[in-house]
This record gives sequence, C-alpha cells and structure tokens, in this order.
Amino acid sequence: MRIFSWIKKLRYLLVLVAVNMLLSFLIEPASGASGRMWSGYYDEQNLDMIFVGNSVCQQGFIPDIFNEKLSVKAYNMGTPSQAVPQSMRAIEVALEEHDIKTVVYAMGFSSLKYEPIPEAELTFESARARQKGGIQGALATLSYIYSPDVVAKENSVNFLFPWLYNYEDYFTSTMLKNATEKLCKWEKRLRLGDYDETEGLKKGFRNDDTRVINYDNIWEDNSYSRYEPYFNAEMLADFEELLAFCKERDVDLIVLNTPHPAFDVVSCYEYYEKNQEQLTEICDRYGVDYYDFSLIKPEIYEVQDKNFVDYEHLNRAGAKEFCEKLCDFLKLRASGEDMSQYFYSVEEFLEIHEDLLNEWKQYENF
Amino acid sequence: MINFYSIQFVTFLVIALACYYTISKKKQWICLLVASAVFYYYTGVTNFAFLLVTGFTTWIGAKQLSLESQRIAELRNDKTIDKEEKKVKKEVILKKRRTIMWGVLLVNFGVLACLKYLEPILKGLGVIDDKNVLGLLLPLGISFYTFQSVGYLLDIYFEKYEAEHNFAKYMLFVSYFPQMIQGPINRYDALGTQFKEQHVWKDEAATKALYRIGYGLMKKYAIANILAVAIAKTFDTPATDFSGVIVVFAILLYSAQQYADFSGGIDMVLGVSELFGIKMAENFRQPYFSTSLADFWRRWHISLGKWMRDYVFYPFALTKPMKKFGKWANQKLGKHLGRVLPAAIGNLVVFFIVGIWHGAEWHYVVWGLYNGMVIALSDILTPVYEKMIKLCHINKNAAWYHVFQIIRTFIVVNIGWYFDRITNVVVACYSLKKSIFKFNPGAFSQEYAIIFDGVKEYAGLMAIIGCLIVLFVSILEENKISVRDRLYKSPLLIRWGVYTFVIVLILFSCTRVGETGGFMYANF
Repeated sequence: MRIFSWIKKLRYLLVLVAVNMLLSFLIEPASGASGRMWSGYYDEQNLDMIFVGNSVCQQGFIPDIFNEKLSVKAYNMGTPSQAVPQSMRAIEVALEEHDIKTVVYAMGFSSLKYEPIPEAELTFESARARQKGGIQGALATLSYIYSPDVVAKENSVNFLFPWLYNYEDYFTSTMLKNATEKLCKWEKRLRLGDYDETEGLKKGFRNDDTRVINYDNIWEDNSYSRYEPYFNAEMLADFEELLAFCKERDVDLIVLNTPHPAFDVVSCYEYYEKNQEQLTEICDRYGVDYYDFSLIKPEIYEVQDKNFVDYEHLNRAGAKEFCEKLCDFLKLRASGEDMSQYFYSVEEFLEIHEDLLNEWKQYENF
Repeated sequence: MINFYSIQFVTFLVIALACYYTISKKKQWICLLVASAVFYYYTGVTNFAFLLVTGFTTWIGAKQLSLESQRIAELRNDKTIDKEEKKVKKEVILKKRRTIMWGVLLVNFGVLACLKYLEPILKGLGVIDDKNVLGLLLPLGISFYTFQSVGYLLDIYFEKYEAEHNFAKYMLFVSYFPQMIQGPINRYDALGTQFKEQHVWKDEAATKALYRIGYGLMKKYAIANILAVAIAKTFDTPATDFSGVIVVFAILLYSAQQYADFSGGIDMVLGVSELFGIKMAENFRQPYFSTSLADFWRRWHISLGKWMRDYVFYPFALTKPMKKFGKWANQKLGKHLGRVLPAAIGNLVVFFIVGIWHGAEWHYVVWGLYNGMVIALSDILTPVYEKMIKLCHINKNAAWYHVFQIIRTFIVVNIGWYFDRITNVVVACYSLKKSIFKFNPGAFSQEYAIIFDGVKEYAGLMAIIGCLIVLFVSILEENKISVRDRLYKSPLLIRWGVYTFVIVLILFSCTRVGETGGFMYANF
C-alpha cells in the first residue's frame, strides 16, 4: 500500500516523461544524420575500415568504392559538425566492436578552427544510445552522462531531453512534418539498409547533392571568410589526444585533409603554410601519415572545381571520383612508395595558381 | 563542484534524502554530515584541509572561551577570595579570552586573506605578473564558512549561548552542504539547533521546497545565464565604445542578472535544505522594492548585512574612541549629528569591508564606499529631507511617493552597479559620464544587435518571460502573499501546467547558452 502512496506522490514524473516523449516526437527530425549513421553502423558486421570526421567526411567517402577496390569492409561514421571528441568516440566504439585496421580521419583545417557545437555532441551520443537500444542503450546513456566531460554538469540532464538539441526549428509546420514522417514509419524506410538502390545514401555516406560551385561569390564565401586563421587550442589538444589514442591501440590512422577547390586554398594564402606546418609537425610526432588532398598532383588526382558544391564540400560525382583516386593512392601507399612526392608544397601550389592569387589579392585590396 | 542542475546531484540528493528519512531519527545529523563530506570532498581534497582548519580552530577556541566564562562565573561565586583578588584574577581571564578570540580570528582571517588577497596584492606590487602564479585557488565557499564559524566564535565570546561540545556536530554546522556554494551565512543558534531535532518527511513541505528549487533554477538559467552573455559583450570588450543608452541598458540587465543569479542560487540551496526539514537564513526580500539604500541592504544579502551589523558595526560603535566621539559630537554639533555621525563612520567602515570582501580590486572598494557614503549622507541629511517634504506638502504615505522612493532607490543602486561590474574605476566613471552626457538613444537598435550577437534564437524571449515571472512573484511576495502556498493549494491541472511550463522554460533556457560557469558568488 505504501508503494501506491509513493506512486501517487510521484505521478507528476510520469506526466513529465510523457511531455518529454511528446516533444521529442514532434521536434526531433524523423531521420537525423547522426541517427542514420548509427542505425546503419549497427547493421554492419566485421568492419575493418572506418572514416570519421564532419560533413566533409560524411559527404566525401563512399565506402562501397573502397570495399570494391581495396577488398575491405568500410563504413563512413562522419556526421555534420562532428568535433574531434566525437570522432574519437566513434573510433573508440568501432574498435571495441570490430577488428578495425584502418581509420581515416577526414578533415578540413576548419575542423580544428571552430568551437565544438554542444548540440552536435549531444545528438551524436543520443543517437548512438538509441540505436543500440535496450539495456545496451541504457548503458551507453549512463556511460555518456558519467563521462568526465559531462559528469556533474548541465548536459547530464539535457541529454535526457533530445528535443532540446536535436531539432531543425520549432515551427509548427516542422513539427507536423516530423510527426507525419514518424507516423508513416518513414523513419524505418530511411534507414540506410533499406536504401541500397540509392547511390546518395549508403553505409554512412550521404551526398545526393549534384550542384556545382556558384562562381558569383567564391571570394565572399570561402574558408578565409568563414573560419579563424589559426587553430583553436582546445581542438588541437583534442586532436592530439585522438592521435595518441590511435597510436596506443596500434591503429593505422590516416589524417586526410579533403580536397578544396584551388580558390579556397588561395584565399588562405597568408596562413595556409603555417596551418600545414603545424598539422604536419603534430602528426609526425605521433608517427601518423598526413595528406593534404588540396595540394595533390594531377598524376594522382586532379582537383577540379566542377566536383564541388561549395568551397569545401564535394558533390556526389566529385565524391565518387575522389574515392576512386584515393583507393589507387592507398594501394600505392601500401606498396611502400613515398607518397609525399605526389603533393605540391604550398609555395609551389601558389605559384601554379598565380593568376587566382592575383585575382584574390585584387579583390582583397578592393 | 557538483552542479545542482545535474543528474549526479539529483542522484546524490535522492540517496541522501532516502538515508536521512529512513535511518534512526537520532542519527539524522550523521547522515547530513556524511553527505556534506561527500559533497565537499568532490570539490577537492585540499579544500577539505582548509575546512577542517577553520572548523577545528573555531570549535576549540569557542570551547576554551566557554571554559573561561565558566571560570569567571565560578570566581564570582567564590567567597574564599577577596574583591581585589577577584578583580585581578578576572582581568587575567578576560585577557586570556581576548587572546584566544584574536588568535582564532587571526588564523581564520589570515588564511582567507592569504588565499583571497595575496596574489592580487603581489600582482599589484609587480612582484608577480600572472594572477595564478602561486596557484592559490579559493576553496569553495571559504568566505561563507569562515564568516559563519567566526560568527559562532564571537557569539560564544559575547556569551550569547553555550559552546557546542561535540566536534562532529559542530563540523556539520560549518560544512552543511547546501550552504557551501554561496551561503547564506547561518547562525549557530538558528541552524545548529535544527540539526539536533528529529525530522520527518512532510509532503507539503517537500513539495514547497521543490517549488523553491524550481524557481531558483528558472532565475539562474532563464535570466542570469542568458543575460550574462550580453552584459559581458558590453563591459568586457574595451575596444567597443558603446553609447550611453546601451551602457544604461546593460547595467539594468546586470541588476537583473546579479539578482537572478544570487537569489536564484539561494532559492535552490534553501529549497534543498528544506527537503531535509532544515530552514536556513533568508538572504533576499524583494530588494528592488526598497525605499532607501539602507532598506536595500536590509533586503539584499541579508545574512551578510546582519553579520556585519552584529560583528563589525556594533562592536566598532561600542569602542571607547567611538563612544567618546559620539559624546563630543553630541555636545558640539547637536543631538542629531551626535547620534548619526558615529553611525555614519561605522557604515563607511562596514561597507569598506563589504567592498574588500567582494575582492581585492579598487572598483569593489569604490563600490563599497559609495554605498557607505550614500547611507551615511542620507542619515545626516534626514532633517533636511523632512523639512523639504513639509515645505512641499508631500504626503509620505501616498502611493505615488512610495513608488517614487522605490524608483529613486533603484537608480541609486544601479549607479553602484557600475563600480561593481566594470572592473576599472576610470572606465566605470567614464561609462557613468557617457550614460548622462552621451546617451544617444538612436544607437540603441544597432548596438543592441551587437551585444546580443551570438545569443541563440529565443534566448531573449526566455529572459523576458523569466523576468516577468520574477516581477509577478515579487509583487505578490511584497504584498505578503505566499506564492508557494497559493500554488500548492491550486487545482491539480493548474499545478501541473505551471510545473511543466517552468521545467520546459528551464530546460530550454539552459541549452540557449553554453557553459557560463557557476554562480557569481561561488568564488567568494
């Protein structure tokens, strides 16, 4: 009888849980990027290669091409705005659950320049816990809210209310759209496994963008205008932690700066070399190979503007071409060849693109 | 430190409450002591040492003082020795008591001063150039528990009550976990005695305690944390020279932030304590409805004000030189000045200490002295006001006059906030000047966009809703209407509606700003 009295006392908690579920149902997108990534990941077995990183990774690496050309079993764990700690978390999870041999950390300099977005982290972790489901999911939730960065802080509570951080907007129309999609069980249909026939959505890779660069605003919209010139100290420290983590576990880690159109490299000419040197120095210290595909020579891969949606993201066709060439590149690397010979130095690159550089300087002065 | 807004604190609280109400009623204080030790241990092991030093020195000092008092009483009743001998012996004991009292004060204020002021002073003298070079980090709540323990020692010195003989029980008074973050500064005769009582769970009291915690969280997250971003943009970016209108606006935001942060935190700790059936000292009573600055300080940080009154103001006013000065002023300057001048000096001393207590920076000293001077001048000029009111035929009981007094006090308080918030006295004076002579209201919309740049969508709306709720509750409380009682007695649907609204508001507000650190007063 006493227990009923306590249930009566705590009945508002049930209301709160119901309100939370209702708001999550209405506000959380039916098929968010993190949810799709983890959902697809848990459908995979015996993976031996993963790609981690933010949107440049998610939109740039097609695992099927690697599977076919390198005879591996790859999965793309990239998600939008994935900060270094989440990339490390993805690696950690994959290492625990699979026999991973190669990890490609796909980045742009920008990945180490902006502050981590708390919502992205929470969405990433929450999606993982949910896709695991059951007791495993509950354990994943507990392990996150008791992790050192979260313990005794606000996010340990916020994590339990997904509508706070995983949302498109709070408009009624979006809520109706989300609810309709969920009620029609579209969420299930959107799971990666069910989309085998769609090239734009496969094994974590998501890029159905066929657009090309808008040349009207290349000098206004580029890495120079979007990001800080130098790396964020906190992100660099996290990056080093990731390198140390992989070294400790004896994983073949490849740090890869995904290709950017030439105008984007040129726009950052004042500090590009410094960024490059800093990253090379850090990676060298941990014995990790670092490649900047913006500076790759055409004999391996020709970086062409038609392959980009904007100053840093590849379009679908661009991703396909890039992945095919990257496979050849990795084969050469595996044969023991010195791969540094296939890259220009920053100085050489700027010399080759002198016209672009002058155009940019003129624009800057103007 | 465990944040109150965290799963870990909720877990800790639920476990502590479950143990507290299920174990033997006589052992409840032990449960609280263990909980307090766990809570404080989480802030760092070295902090524990400081807490123990304060606890032990004040406890043993007070015990010794109590013994000496007993000896004086025995001496008084001793018929075997003559009057002269009694006088000599009493003098020796009194001297010993003074030595003990000053010795313990020296140790405790010495530790506090070293931790709080040594680095800024060395930095000011140019001996060190980095603020944290000595690595002296302030243990959580050191100012609060030092003042509380010293208050206890002085109460025993002044023989207000008996000393506590059980060290563990006394340590609970010093380390009681809800008060460790930002006070209030409790008194032993009010708090210590409650630990000895037996408490039973009461649904109504617990529900009302939860209301208070929720209200505090709402103040902290929907108001203080959101406004902090815009205020910092205004005052912590020296390169941007904002117009007077935005400076005034930011100061008004600061008055809201400061109140919401501090009183919100106090609401939380008082609410948590109420869950254990322990009522701690109130620290706020609608301060922005004060009708004078002196009244404001009786409503703002009440426990510190009372501490200063009892342990600084009165003892200072009763010193021989001050008594002499009072007599002299009475004879030479008249009855009114003879009464208010010593009090004015006392107020200046008190507010100078309050300023220094806030930090070893000049702007705090100026802020403290500004408050002291306004109160002192207001006392001195009372006859002038009275005459003016009479001449102008003003009805002091009229509602409009009451509102005028509130607005006037609010302005006076806000002028003080310039020196509290702006860390450079010259810049604070310049900002004050700008507020009057370079007001430039036309720049508001443009500069408003600058200071709120980076604040996420809906955050401003959350802060406005939060402020309106606080205003509404404050008006009711000022009119002696208990909002908690009203809410508790209201129909179920209304209650659940209010709970849900407040919880959603808190959660939503919390994610509108990133980590903004803890409470403003947690570093004192």
